[in-house]
Parts: sequence; C-alpha cells; structure tokens
Amino acid sequence: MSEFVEAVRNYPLMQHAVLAALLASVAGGVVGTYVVVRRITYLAGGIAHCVLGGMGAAVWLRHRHGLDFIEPMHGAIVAGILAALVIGLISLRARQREDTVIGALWAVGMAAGLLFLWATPGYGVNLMSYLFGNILMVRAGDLVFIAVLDAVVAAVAVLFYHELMAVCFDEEFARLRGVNVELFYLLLLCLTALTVVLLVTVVGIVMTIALLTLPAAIAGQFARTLWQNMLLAILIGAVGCIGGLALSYGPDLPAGATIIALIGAVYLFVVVGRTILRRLRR
Amino acid sequence: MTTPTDEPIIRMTDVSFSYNGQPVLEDVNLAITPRDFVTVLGPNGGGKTTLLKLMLGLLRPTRGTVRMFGQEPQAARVRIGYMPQHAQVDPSFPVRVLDVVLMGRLRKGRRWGPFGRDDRRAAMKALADVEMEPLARRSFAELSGGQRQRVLIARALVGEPELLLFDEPTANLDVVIEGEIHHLLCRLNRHIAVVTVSHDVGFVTHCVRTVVCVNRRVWVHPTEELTGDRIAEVYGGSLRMVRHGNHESASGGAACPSS
Repeated sequence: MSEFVEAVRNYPLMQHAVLAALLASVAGGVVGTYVVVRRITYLAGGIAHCVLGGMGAAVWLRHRHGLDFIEPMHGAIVAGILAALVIGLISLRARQREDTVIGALWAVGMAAGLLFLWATPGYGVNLMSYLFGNILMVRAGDLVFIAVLDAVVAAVAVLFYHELMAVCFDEEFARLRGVNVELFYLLLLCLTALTVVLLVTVVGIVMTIALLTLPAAIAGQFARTLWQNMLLAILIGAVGCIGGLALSYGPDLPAGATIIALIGAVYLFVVVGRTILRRLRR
Repeated sequence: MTTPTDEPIIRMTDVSFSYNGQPVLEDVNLAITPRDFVTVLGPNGGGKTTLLKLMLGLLRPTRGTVRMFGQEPQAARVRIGYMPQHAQVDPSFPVRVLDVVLMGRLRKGRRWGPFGRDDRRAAMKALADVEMEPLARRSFAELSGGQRQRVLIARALVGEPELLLFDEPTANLDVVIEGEIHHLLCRLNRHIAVVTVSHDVGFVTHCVRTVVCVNRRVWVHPTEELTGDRIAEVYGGSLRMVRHGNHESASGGAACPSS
C-alpha cells in the first residue's frame, strides 16, 4: 500500500488516475442513485454499450478524415445522448417488447464501434482499453473535460432533485401535478449517458454499469433519503475506486477489473450480511 | 371561475371508453355536486379505475364528454387531490415522509431547486390533518401500511384541492385502520368533495351520500338510512345500505352489486 502512496506522490499519471476516479464517483453516485431507485439499470446498460459506436466513429473521423479536433470522448458523448433519447422514447411510447429493442440497440452500438475501429487500422487504438478501461491513460487535458462534465451532471441532478425524485417515486402523480414527466425522464437518461462516459474512462464500457449501480445499491441498504443515498454512493464509489487502484498497483493487476471486483465483493457482503442479520433477529 | 354551489364539479355526458376495441365503459352519465361523498363500487375489471382516469384526463373517452369544474379534465387536474392504488408506490424507496408530501406541491412553472418555506409549512399542515406530523422526518419505508396511506392522503391534500379522488384507499389494510381512514375521509368531506373507489361491496360508511355502481355501465344511487336494528347489531357500526330504486331496474340493475 505504501508503494501505491509513493507512486501517487511521484507520478502525475497516478495523480490523474486518482483524480479521474474521484470526479467520476461524484456523478456516478448521484445519477446511479436515480438509476437504481427508478429501476432502469438495463436501459443504462444499453446506453453504455452504444457509447462504443461513438468512440469508434470519432477515431475513424479523426484518423481517416483528418478531423484532429475530434476526441473519442466527444464521440462517446454524442452516441450516449443519442442512445439515451432513442431508448427513452422507445420506453415511453412502445410499452411492449421494450427490452428486445434495447437489447438490439445494445449490440448494434457495439457492432458499429467495432466496424469503425476495423476501418481505422494501424493507429495504435487499443480496443481493450475502451472495453475494459485504462485509467492510467488519463491526461491532464482529459481531467479538465471530466471535471466540467461532472459539474454539469451534478448541478442538473441537484437542481431538479424534487422533480426527478417525484418522477422516480410516482410518475403518474407527478404528471397530475403538471410536471413534464417525459421531459424529466429523458433528462435523467441523458444524465445517465454523460455519467456513463465519465465512468468509461475509469473502468471501460463493459464494467461501467457495475460502477454506476453497485455503489448506489450498497448505499440503498443504509440510506433513508435520496440525499443520503447519493452522498453515501459517492463515498463508496470513491473509496472503491481508490482501493481498487491501490490493490491493483503492487501486483500490476488490471485496475478497472480490480475496482469492480472489490465493489462487487462489498455489495455481496452487505446484502448477504443484512439477510443473515434479519434472519437471526427473527 | 366561480361556480354556483349546485353546479356539478364532475359531469360525464354519454361517455364510452374502449380499450383495444373492447368496451370498458358504455353510456356513462353522471353529475357529482360539491361537498358530495361518493363511493364507486363494482367488480374487478368493471371499469372503476378507468372511470377515475377519465376524470383525471389520464384517459380520453372514446365517445362523449367529461367536464371537471366545467373545464377539460387535463386543465382541471391541479384542482384535484389524487391518491393512486397502494401498489403503485415502491415502499422501499429511500425518501422522508415530508418529501413525499412535498411532491404534492409540485406544479407547472415552479422555480427549480428546493421548496420554499410556504411549501414546507403547507406540507406540515397536511401531515397534521392526517395526524402524522410527529413522523415528518421518518423514512417512508419504516412506516406501517396504514401510516403510508395517511402520508399519501396528506400528499393529495397539500395542493389545496377542491376534490379528492382516492383509488382503493383502504385496500390491504386491516379493519381497524380501515375504519380510521374512513373516519378521516368523513372529516375531510366537511370542506371538500370526496370520491373513493372501493372493492367493498354492499355496505359503505355512514358519510357516503352517493354510490356509483360500475360494471361497464354506471348506476348512481343516493344512500338511504338503514333502519333495521339487527343489521346494525351484526356490523356493530353506523352503516348505510345501498338501495336500488325502481329507476334502474329497467336497465338491468342486477349487474350492480348491492346488499
């Protein structure tokens, strides 16, 4: 562990990684809580996987068409928002077979990404780092971008706290009170898309959904209000990310996978522990 | 905007509603006046909830017109305090009692951000009305079924409605708590009209003045004082009996549940 602390002190690479993880935990905790209480984990998973399509398209435009200002993260944001709107409208309008359509989009988004990357060979693009994350690749410029995105997501989610909570708690009642339920539902999915993009930098596309929902789900075992749930989820996410980074550093394990395994183990422990406690009390 | 007191607050004229070509409600005509206490009775699948959703403008009639306070139902929504069926709300949702009630203060054009002092004061008053004020800071998940129901009633009250629409307010509650809730509704009815949907058939509490029976068609009955002492003995409370008059026998009154 002291090895890790030493590395954070000396290497900017490690400092960036720690900062990126802390920043991503904020948006992750806030939006993850909404996703968990509204039970839209599957929609969030669909959005997360569509992000690869955007990243692939960005890489392709950048290298094949000389559009140097386009970064993979830009593509991720565009694809994420598009996926959020399409999936949102499907879940609002077509009540039947919603899961089939989302599952299809999920895979088609990934297929598009793979095709774009295939069409852009020889530029050192590491597909594995998109899919499974490479937090040690975060540059100083990325950090500014992550911080801005983080601030936007957190500000919107907090500003519309009562509206979003009402839509998650009882959609029909919120509609009767004159709340534009469809608008807030789509807003929530767009916030989810932006958060997914932030989390992808930490753990990659495939494991994003766990980093979004597990801290919020662990927090939900203890929280009595949505606020507490969010703050606790931020804390759990931050500790889990830093802990995972630290654990992975010595033996040189993949950081993203270590973070997810750690948080997953905590979730399992908490859920099983509480179930046993409840049985014993009876 | 001011309506004379005997002007109906709910008026349905020749209303029919079909779902996927299946008729759910047919030729509904009814008029509810202010201060009335209405119970909507009928078998499951008979169209009770559909009737309520037509009043709220959540569904549009296939034929006929619905007017609430003389307005389109969608425009009149904010004047109605609505409580949905028990099952619609996730009891494990992490939220404080006060925050649930404050949802009833949401409105179009509200300034974003936290609720103001007026909203909080109104929420505490609504909680006091349902005798839940001391539990305002409690978690909704920790409450009993009856307490949760009171909180949802407070949420319906906090918007200062002119009409309360409650869908099965006493479903899943034991008889004692059911009595308490009925008592509470009677008290609220001193100031506002109340419409409840109920799965109970035959008997309704003493303050109910109008019974609407729904089974694809709709029959409206005023309640009559029950004179038989024996039945009062058996049920041990002040009850009224639904009596079908002569007027609906021609249209097949047997379809409607009665004593």
